[in-house]
Amino acid sequence: MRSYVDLCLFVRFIELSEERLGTYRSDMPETEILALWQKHESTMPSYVFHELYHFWQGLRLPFVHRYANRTLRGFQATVTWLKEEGVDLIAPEPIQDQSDTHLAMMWTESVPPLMSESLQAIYGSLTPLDLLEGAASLAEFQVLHDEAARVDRRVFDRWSKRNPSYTNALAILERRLRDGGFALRMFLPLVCQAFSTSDPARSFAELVELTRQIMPTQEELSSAQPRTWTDLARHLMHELPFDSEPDADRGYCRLLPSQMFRRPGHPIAGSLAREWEQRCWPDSAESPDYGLVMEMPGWIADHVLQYCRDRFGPPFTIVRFHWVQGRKSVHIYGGENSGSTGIDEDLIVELLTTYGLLRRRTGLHYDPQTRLCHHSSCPYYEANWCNTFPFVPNDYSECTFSSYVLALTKLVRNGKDTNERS
Amino acid sequence: MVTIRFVAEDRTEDLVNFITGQMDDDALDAMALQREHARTPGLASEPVTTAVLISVTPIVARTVARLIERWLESRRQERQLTLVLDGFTESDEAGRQLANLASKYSDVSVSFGPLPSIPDTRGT
Repeated sequence: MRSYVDLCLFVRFIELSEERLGTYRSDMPETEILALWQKHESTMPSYVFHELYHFWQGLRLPFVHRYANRTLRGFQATVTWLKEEGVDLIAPEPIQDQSDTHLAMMWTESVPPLMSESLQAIYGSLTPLDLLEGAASLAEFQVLHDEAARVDRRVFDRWSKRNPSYTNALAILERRLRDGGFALRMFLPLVCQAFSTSDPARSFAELVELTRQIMPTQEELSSAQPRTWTDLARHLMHELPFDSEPDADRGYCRLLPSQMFRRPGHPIAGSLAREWEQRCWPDSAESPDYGLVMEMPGWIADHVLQYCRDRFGPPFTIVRFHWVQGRKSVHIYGGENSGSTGIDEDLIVELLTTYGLLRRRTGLHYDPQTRLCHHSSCPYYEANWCNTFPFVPNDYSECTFSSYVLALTKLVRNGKDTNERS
Repeated sequence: MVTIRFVAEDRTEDLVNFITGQMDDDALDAMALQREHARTPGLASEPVTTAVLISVTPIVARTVARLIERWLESRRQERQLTLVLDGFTESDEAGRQLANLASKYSDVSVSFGPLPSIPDTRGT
């Protein structure tokens, strides 16, 4: 049971446990349940910030944004292929076996990082997910603590033991830099730069090795402005040995924020990503802080952080309530900014359902352990085609998933895909 | 130092937070802790904590044993809890306390065996 942000669809999935909720009444109206969630969210528990930071990674880190757009394009290509070949949407054989060329580009994202042998020995097991999770954990820690504690290795060590956290990538950085305080200052700036390339794990390794050559003294560490470390990481990016032009479709290259402006944009996060990026342009009247939120969330002015929370929060959240006595219920909530996506409640349900089916069908961006339904007695539970279908009834015999599938299958056969409809 | 590896299905993280949340800073500083996460494909989901290894002194191990028992008593839904102890002998008080959990709770299993050591990052 773990909350997460889907880094392809950019929908937030929250698991809200009974300890945080109190008692559920069977006659509780939807508005009251929504109020429970809103009240809980407004207190910004640290795990909610952790997920918010993941959502921001989708808005601000070019690799993540490109990954999401490419995955969605892969799904669109799958629909086209199913239609042309007359293949059913739901079928037992994985679609990879059909060797569809449209999907080939997708799988390049999961190729192991191409590092030199010496770097492979140190960083070989490191994945982009390790870096994203490590960054979200450290960001969570730094916004919760005062300035001195944010870079105090001992305080972080205690916090990471007492709270759910991911520390293996930070531990590697610390071993390489041989200084916990320096590692805490450099980790977020390095991760953000690494995700401005087509191969984050490789770039992180190369950036860390470059950082090792610039070891500051303890006095420099304590007296330098926090911005120093962000500027250092940005400077080091210019020394990476890219072999392709920026934003190239293939090869090791730098990814620019222009990723966020490519068309077609991401249906849920595209407009928000562009809006945030425009706030960071040199001629923007906005504070330069907006361009530093990901690297230095603990040092950003409160009003900027608050604005980002309000304006750039996830437009759609699925909350699964775990009530006392084992009862569960699933609800979809639109944030205040959901209107800016142009996606209404009907369309988000259709998107989620189609998305779950396609990732199950293709194996792309699919974790078999991920599901919203808790009815393990349902004969279709194991197959998990409904992994993101948000209408989970009290009794699985009342489930409407099959009617959605039927409608979607007709859409595919009739040559219309959800994109055309939207 | 002794090492305990525990797995409590989908409540493993809950258990480790319960234990570490009850310990004072000094005890926590003296403890090495390592989480094991499920590997998920690509960026598809947030990795879940599947197991936790803690390395503590025998005295702190007794506190850990008491905290595990309190967690078992307070939980609302049963989960299978598996403990593997390394560095203990059955004659140790902490080892005995932990081994007794298996006889008291039917969903707890305890075994003794070698475990991989945890890289010690304390005090860095």
